[in-house]
Amino acid sequence: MNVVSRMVLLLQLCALPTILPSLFVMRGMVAMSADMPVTYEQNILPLFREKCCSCHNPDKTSGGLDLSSFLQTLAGGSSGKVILPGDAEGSYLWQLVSHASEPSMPPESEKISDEMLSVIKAWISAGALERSGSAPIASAQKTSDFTMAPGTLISLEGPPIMPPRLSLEVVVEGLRGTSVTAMASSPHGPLVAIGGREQVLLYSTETLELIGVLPFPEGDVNSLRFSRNAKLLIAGGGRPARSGRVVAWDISSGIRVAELGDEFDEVLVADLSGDQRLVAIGGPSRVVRLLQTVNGSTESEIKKHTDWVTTLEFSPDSVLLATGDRAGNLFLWESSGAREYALLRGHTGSITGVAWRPDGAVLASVSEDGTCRLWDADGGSQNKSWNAHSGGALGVVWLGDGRLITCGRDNKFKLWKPDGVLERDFEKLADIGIRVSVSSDSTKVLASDWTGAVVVHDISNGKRIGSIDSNPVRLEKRLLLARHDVLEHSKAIIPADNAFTVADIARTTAIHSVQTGTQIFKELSSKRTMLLSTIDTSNAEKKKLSDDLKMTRESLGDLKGSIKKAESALEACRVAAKATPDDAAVVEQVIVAEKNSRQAKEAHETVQKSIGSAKELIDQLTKQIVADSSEKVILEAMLEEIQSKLTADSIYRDETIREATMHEEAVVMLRKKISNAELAVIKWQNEIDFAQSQERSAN
Amino acid sequence: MIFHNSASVRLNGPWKHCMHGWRQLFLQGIPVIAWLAGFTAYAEEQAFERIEVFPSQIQLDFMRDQQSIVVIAHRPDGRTLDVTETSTMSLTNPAIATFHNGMFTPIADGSCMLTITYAGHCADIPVTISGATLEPPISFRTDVMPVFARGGCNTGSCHGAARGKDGFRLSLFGFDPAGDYQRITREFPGRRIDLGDPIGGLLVQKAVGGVPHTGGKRFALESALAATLVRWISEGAPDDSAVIPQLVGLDLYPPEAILDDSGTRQRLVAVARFADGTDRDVTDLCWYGSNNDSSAKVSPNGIVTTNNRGEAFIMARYQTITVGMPLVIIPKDLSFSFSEAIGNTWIDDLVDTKLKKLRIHPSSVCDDETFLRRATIDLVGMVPTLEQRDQFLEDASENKRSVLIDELMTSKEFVEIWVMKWAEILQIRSSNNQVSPKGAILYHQWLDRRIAANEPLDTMVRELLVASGGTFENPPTNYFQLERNTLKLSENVAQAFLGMRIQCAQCHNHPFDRWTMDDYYGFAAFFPQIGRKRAADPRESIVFDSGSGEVKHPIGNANVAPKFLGAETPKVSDRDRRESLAKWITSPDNPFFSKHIANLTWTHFLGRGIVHEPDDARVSNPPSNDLLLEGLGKRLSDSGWDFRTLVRDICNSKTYQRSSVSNESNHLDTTHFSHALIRRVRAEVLLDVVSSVTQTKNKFPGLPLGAHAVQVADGKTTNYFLTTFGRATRDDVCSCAVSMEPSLSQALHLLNGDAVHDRITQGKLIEQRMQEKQNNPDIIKELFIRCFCRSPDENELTDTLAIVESAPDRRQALEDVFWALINSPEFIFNH
Repeated sequence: MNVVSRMVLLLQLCALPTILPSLFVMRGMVAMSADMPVTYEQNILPLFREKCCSCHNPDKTSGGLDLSSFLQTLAGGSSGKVILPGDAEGSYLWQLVSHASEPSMPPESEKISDEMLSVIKAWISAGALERSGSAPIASAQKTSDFTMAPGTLISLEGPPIMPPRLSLEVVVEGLRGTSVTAMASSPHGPLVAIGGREQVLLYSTETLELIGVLPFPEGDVNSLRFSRNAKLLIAGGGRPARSGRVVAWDISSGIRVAELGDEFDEVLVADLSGDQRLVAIGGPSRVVRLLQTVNGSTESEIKKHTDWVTTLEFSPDSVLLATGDRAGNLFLWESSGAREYALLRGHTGSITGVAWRPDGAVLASVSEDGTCRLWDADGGSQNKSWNAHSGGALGVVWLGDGRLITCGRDNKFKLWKPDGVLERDFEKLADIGIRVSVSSDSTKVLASDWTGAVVVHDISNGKRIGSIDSNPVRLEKRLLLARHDVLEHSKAIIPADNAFTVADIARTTAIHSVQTGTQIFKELSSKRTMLLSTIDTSNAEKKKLSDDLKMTRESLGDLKGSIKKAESALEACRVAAKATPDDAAVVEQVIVAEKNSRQAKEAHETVQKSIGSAKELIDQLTKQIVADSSEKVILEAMLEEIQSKLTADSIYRDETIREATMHEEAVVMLRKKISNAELAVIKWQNEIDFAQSQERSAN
Repeated sequence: MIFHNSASVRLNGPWKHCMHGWRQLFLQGIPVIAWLAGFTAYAEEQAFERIEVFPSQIQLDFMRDQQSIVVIAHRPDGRTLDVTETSTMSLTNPAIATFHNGMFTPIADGSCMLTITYAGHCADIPVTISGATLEPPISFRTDVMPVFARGGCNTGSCHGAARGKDGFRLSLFGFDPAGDYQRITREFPGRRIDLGDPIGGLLVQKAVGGVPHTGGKRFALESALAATLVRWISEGAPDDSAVIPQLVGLDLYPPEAILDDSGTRQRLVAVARFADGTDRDVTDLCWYGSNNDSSAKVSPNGIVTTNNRGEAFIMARYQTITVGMPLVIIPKDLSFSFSEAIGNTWIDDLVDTKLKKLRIHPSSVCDDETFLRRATIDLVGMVPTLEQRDQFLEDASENKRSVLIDELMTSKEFVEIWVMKWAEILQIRSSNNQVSPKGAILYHQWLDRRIAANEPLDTMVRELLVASGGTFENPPTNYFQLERNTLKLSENVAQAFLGMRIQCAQCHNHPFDRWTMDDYYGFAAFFPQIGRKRAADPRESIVFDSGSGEVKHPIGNANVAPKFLGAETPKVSDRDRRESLAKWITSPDNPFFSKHIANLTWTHFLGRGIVHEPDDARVSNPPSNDLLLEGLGKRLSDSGWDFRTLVRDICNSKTYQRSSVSNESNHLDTTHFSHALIRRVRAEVLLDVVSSVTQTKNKFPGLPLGAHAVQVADGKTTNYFLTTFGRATRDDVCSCAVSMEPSLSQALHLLNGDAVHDRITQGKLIEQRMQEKQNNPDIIKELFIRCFCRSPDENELTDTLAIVESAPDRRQALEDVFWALINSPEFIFNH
């Protein structure tokens, strides 16, 4: 091993003591290493926190003893000193935890483990050291200075403040969804944060898709708030009956910028002042603590509450702080100095939520007594009170125009006009409604319930837009599901395709047959039409001919008459001629009369011929007409048959079209699903890779 | 080792002189052999005669069903032994069920027999399995609620308190499962249960010690109790769907036991029965308690461990039902022979049966002087005069005690005593705005007339309960004027006439008794239709039945129909509800009234009730001798409700006449009447007795000079003496209102106050005797007889004479002697 690597190793070894204690502090474990001294900071405090500090803490000093600080531990309690440095057996604390004396500690519980007892004994015997000199105290708090300079205006212009690409891997996948008690929408951007166990889920209110998971290893998230300028997200929570913490993230980077507070029970509610100088926290300790964000120190404490502090909010201008507790007390305080400003008297049940109207002039509060009340910020008088939800109202949020939305134990969430009149009752929730939030553009309302469902509705028409999953599954599972989908759909598409093919063929056939049928029909139809016109023409002709015949017959009569006349003329002429055979004129007359008679006879013959031919023609025509008519009848019968077949075929054709379309659509849909699933597979694989890379870079 | 073996006794006789050499050895060997033989004989004669298995069948209806059993071996002398762990068990078809960790669990459907053998005896019970693969959904009421009871979560000192603990409240002993469901799941979303992490919420974490909990670790995470909670939460913490079978009964096995030796263990099995015919082994879900820890303790798991000899009542509670089993503990290897008593009355037979069971010898009957004084105080509230004593002692007839009892019962003072006792039950007193002194006196006079005329008690009580009219003209209506609140009135009636304190059930189901809130409000529903209005005389009220008025159940606010306690709902639409109630109370079938009145009577004479306190009968406070109580009750109702019959029977019994001197076997017993109890004389009687022995008279308002304190009608009338000695003000119907507890004020009052000293001087008895020229010994003797009903013995006489004779002022000395006698316990106590 060369010098450099030796040096590196040495440095690493030196660094160990700085790393290890902080690990111990953060994990709260107690393991002793053989050569390290047992100290209060490193070994005893985590032990005390786990086993003792629920009763022996600064807010609740049972027996006058506070074990959460070294000095207080040494100071002792009402029975006197509990630690005699150097003398474990003689120390009262040791006697009680080892059950050598009464009252045994922790009370009503099993004795603490032998390992813990040996740590305590070692610590006292070694002289009750506070901390190891060489190891720096691992800072329990992480702070950043994001206090805004006084007078800074909060502007919500510009592009929405959204997180960068974040890992979508959940920290915890619960057995099933459970109550969502923390929900907040960003004031500038389509972003909503939902609290869960050990994680904060970030969703887009536009796509309703998960866009980020912020780990919260401190425990359950009970309260979420965005800073007024939308840049920070503050979460308050912890482990019930054990520890409480407030964490702040910078949204644009997704990085934790502050970890504040050191409570002995979970933080129920936390808020950041508008100027971001203070964080107010409240919880079962009944004390409202105002911490300075710059260094995490406690600036002031409010001890007036007699029960758990369940809700609080800074006024938009940060001048006032509204706090409410489980006994129904509601106060307004001056933020700096924590002086009582007003007692808002009226509620008869636990205060479950407070919200300042954006202009800061009115405070809304909801309570287990079922009412929603409005209070004047100036003086604290009650403006309005109305029954919002029978059984208890649990959440309240303002819209920019002075309307409010509340939710409660009647499984409903409701939109109220500024004067407290109900404007809209949204669709009923599956269980009691716990929190409500409004998107930054005031178009959507989100409501969470006891089952873990978070529904999104359009405010203007009340219709449901969608829902958000408060218990998303692990990415691996999502990938598996997507892959499964691909497989399933791919399997399903085969029969669908086949079905489509079959249907398609049937459809084509059906269309074709209809087409053919139609064609034939058309042809026959036109034939018939032609026949009809032929018949008509024939009939017309026949009529004409008949008329002519009639006329001709009549003219025949005339002709016969004229023949007779001509004959008689001829006779006359002949007579005349006979009489006067030399009369040329008479002879001419006779000739003319002969001619006339001949002509008349010819004419008569012609007419007779023409009558005959006309008759023949008429007969022909009649025959023709009859033939045509019978053909027409046959045609018509055929047409009828074809018509009915055509109708049936058309119906069948429509059916096949429908079916084919259906199958086609199914295939299309499946194809779409497959492609979506394939995209999802890619997406989730991508997300998994991203999450892993994030984790690697974090470690 | 002591045992009575005839062999060893015989050897000490004629063979004594034969002890030398081998013969000696041989002969010495005989006792050993005989001892051994005797031991075997002893062991054989003490061998078991049979074994018994509880429950009598095993029926498992679903996959998670289970059943434990207990096997009892009986000895011929009545002793029992728990042999569950040492007996052999086998199933005729082992494929259908398995035995593991003390429980039978199902494998497959079918039926077979379970054979148990022990010490040559065997017993078998049928085993039926159905639904072995059935997994019914977890039920909040049937499965989860008992976890809170068993874990101690919903007791009054924890989350069952009125305000709960730190904001988490459960109904006391689970009387409101619907409310508990809401509080656990929805009151504080996110904290108590986490549907996504069943182990994570505080409900589980606090109970298993995962987080600091003031109530401590109730059960382990690996326990069946925690598993039930976790399973319920993992299924989404569902509420019960509409109808789940109601609990109808709880059986505790074995039903009784007689164990010997201290440190003997007895396991219990508890089986709950439901309305759909199913049953469940709830041994692991019951709360267990003993009413006498010094005789037997029971662990939270239902294992009894014996201690000193005595009797204990072991109780088990599951949901709303509490049941118990009596356990008798006798010393190990006790040889006990109970000589058949002579001259027993039926009462004595019943008492002796119990004493025999407990292996207790009663004390012998007291002497005549003791009997005379005791009977006189108990029956007429006086001490016997000298003449009465002389007459009684000289009487040689066999039945003189019986005759004396009859004589005392004919006197008017006997009536006065019982009028006073009933006046306490009926709370006769004047009360501002409600009952004027005139009203109280008329009320008292009515009672006096009834008792003096020996009106049957059922008629009297019926007359009282249905009384309507003006409080002057029909005095028993005062009962409804003295207590106008419907609920309190119903509590008073239950306590006064049925001997039960149902008060607890007003707000929650009674923790140690069978009464639920439904029972309480059902009983109270007999009383809301009593109307009261002013009469012409402003001091008088008129009580009538208004025909309207209902009692509302606090959970759900619905009207409650009148219902008899432990019996059916009567039709009362067109009848006066009070009439139905009166009829039911005084019916011979009513299980409470006759026994209660009989018990009150018994308590007056014996100083302790068979159920004690006499108005506190409950499952967890059983009668010390249930057959005796039944017998007394029956005697009362069969005799036409003539309480004088009962008084006669009690006073004539040997039990009443036993001496207060205890013997080795009964000196610890105070509950089974094996010897007379020493009781302080009650206030009124004490005042009367002090007055009579000192020859002074008292004046009470409304009564002539010289009237007795027992005659005072109004509970409000009292004086310093009576109050100090615990006279009941009758504001309360409780039997504890008559206080017999000693106190410093009492002692000081007698020593320093005017009660004794002034009376002695005012009464001038000593003066008179001195004027009559009586000598010291005679005066002293008279004083002893007056106070103690006996002559002084030699030492007493000598000592007192010495004091008197050596004193400068003879009169003062004698008065001092008198003073000393009155201040001594022998005077103040009835013994």
